[in-house]
Amino acid sequence: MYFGTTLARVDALDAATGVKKWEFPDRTASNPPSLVSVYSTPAIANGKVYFGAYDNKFYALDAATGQPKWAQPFTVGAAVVPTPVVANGMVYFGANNSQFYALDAETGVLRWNIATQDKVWSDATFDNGTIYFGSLGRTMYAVDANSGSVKWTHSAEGMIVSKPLVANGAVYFGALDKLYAVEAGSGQLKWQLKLGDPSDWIWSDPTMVGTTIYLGTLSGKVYAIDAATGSQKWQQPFAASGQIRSAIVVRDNVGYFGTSDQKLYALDLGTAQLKWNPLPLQGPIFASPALEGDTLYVATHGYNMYALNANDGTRKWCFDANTNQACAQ
Amino acid sequence: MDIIGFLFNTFVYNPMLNGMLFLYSIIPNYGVAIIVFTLIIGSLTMPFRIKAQSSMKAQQEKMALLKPKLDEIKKKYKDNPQELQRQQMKLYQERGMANPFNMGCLLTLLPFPIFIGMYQVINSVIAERPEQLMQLSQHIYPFFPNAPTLIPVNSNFLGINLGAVLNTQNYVIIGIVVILVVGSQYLQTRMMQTTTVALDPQQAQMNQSMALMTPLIFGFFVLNAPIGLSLYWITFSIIGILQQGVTGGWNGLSNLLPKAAPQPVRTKRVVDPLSPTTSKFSASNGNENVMASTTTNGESSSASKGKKKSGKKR
Repeated sequence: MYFGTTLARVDALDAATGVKKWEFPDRTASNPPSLVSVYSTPAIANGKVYFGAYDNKFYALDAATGQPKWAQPFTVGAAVVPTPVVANGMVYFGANNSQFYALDAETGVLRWNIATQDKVWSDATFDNGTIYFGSLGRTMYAVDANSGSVKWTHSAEGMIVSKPLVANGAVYFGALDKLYAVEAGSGQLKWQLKLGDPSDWIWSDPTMVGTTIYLGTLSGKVYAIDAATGSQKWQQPFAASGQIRSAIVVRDNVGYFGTSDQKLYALDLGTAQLKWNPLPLQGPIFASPALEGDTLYVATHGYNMYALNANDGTRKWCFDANTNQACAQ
Repeated sequence: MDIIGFLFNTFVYNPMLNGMLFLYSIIPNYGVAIIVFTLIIGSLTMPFRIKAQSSMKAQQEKMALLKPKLDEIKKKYKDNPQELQRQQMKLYQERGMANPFNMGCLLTLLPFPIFIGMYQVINSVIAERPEQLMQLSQHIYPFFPNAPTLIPVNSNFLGINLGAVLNTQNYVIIGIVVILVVGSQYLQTRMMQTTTVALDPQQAQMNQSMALMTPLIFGFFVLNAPIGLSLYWITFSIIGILQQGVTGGWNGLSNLLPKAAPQPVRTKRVVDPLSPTTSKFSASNGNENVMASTTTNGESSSASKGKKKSGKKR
């Protein structure tokens, strides 16, 4: 498993044991690059790890060894925040210089780039030859994945930070305190929902299970929304004690998410009741948890990576990126 | 949240953040909004700053009048520090100066929480890193519903990104901004010093050093801060210069001009009105602030009102 941190590096751990396999940059190498910070969750495809960093560059590493796969990292000229998406032989990502890029996934050569309204922090979604992403300039884009030509744009009332969800011929995306559903083909508005609280900013990637969209907000609420109509399914949103930045990751109708006050929640999505008590971890949780089998991987901003049993939250292992060792507690 | 953080957010950061966003909703140019906002902040805090200055000046004048007594005590009890301290406190109490660090000193600290608040506001509404914007949602007033439509602000001003850290810019921009920050701060400090008094040559020298060091420290600080903060600080310093000029005269600026020739050494008498038996002569070369007198452009004024006559050449 792979993760980046604001410690200016990307670590690869053994998913079963939590033992470190490699790190990039290799501190023993001569003149290692300084990544400054890595906000981008690495994308894994074709035996490569792709990510962008705050050193204004975009990297492709060998997933097995951590060695660079391209002759040179791609120079973006601005920080890269979002997680890249790899599809169609290309790797796609936006950057802080108000540009969206498509690189050749094998060579790192630029295939196309387009100018956007303001910075791009939202992860992109690839669906049926189209790339969808939003920008801080309050605009949702649908772009031809091959040519980079813009198919349509949709203006929202707030900045778009989270990853758009594409399903059932619609694109669902949050724009601060509003959730939008637009036609995937045309960008025409289907419905929009203003959340209840002005501080209910959507930073969390929406997740769909059946016909319901789940998302968390920065005021700590979890909403269940009917994808067809935009109406709320629960009488009251579930209220957590901290900001929810991470996506609601679902397994067996249980939604897992982390909060800024260092807790991991497991929520029964049918009843909006807790499955187990919020689990205190070391450090705020901003990144979305990752699920593999019954193991839940959770990275914290305190630089710990946890592997937990998804059924009861018991710890399998914990790695402390500060010390490069197993967590002390 | 700790109590200091809560108080800071409630009384400084939240009002400033919402005020700035409200202003930006009217003036959709972030640079102009920062300037106007600084003018408002400067106007609101001006009575406190004027009060602080006059209070400090009065305090220093009192201290100057006490100096002969203090020197006497120091000499008398030089081998008994405890008694020295006791006698000094006694003297302060007798002259109604029990707390030398009075409200004037506290008021001079007023700009600093505002400066920190401004730093945070500029940092948080300009999207450079995700965590800066994430915490914003908790600080916007519920009765400001269109705030989300304003964020992130357009940080471009005269072709410069106000959210960018200054030292990431080219040397021309860095040079211009640093010169403006250091220069305006230097002028303000110099002008402030002409309205206060120095007790002795050592303090006068310390004032000179401060007039140089304070702007340089600020110049160094803004190198690693968003450029918007420099814009705020330059505007704030200009307001300070104007205020000093209006309330204390423009001698601070004219003092920076080259002088024709050094003034002859003069003596002045400083009189403690509460101590008629104590009088002392002091020497001045007409340029240094010595004892309780302020000297600007060859003109001098006594620290104690109505004592000008005693300061003439003898």
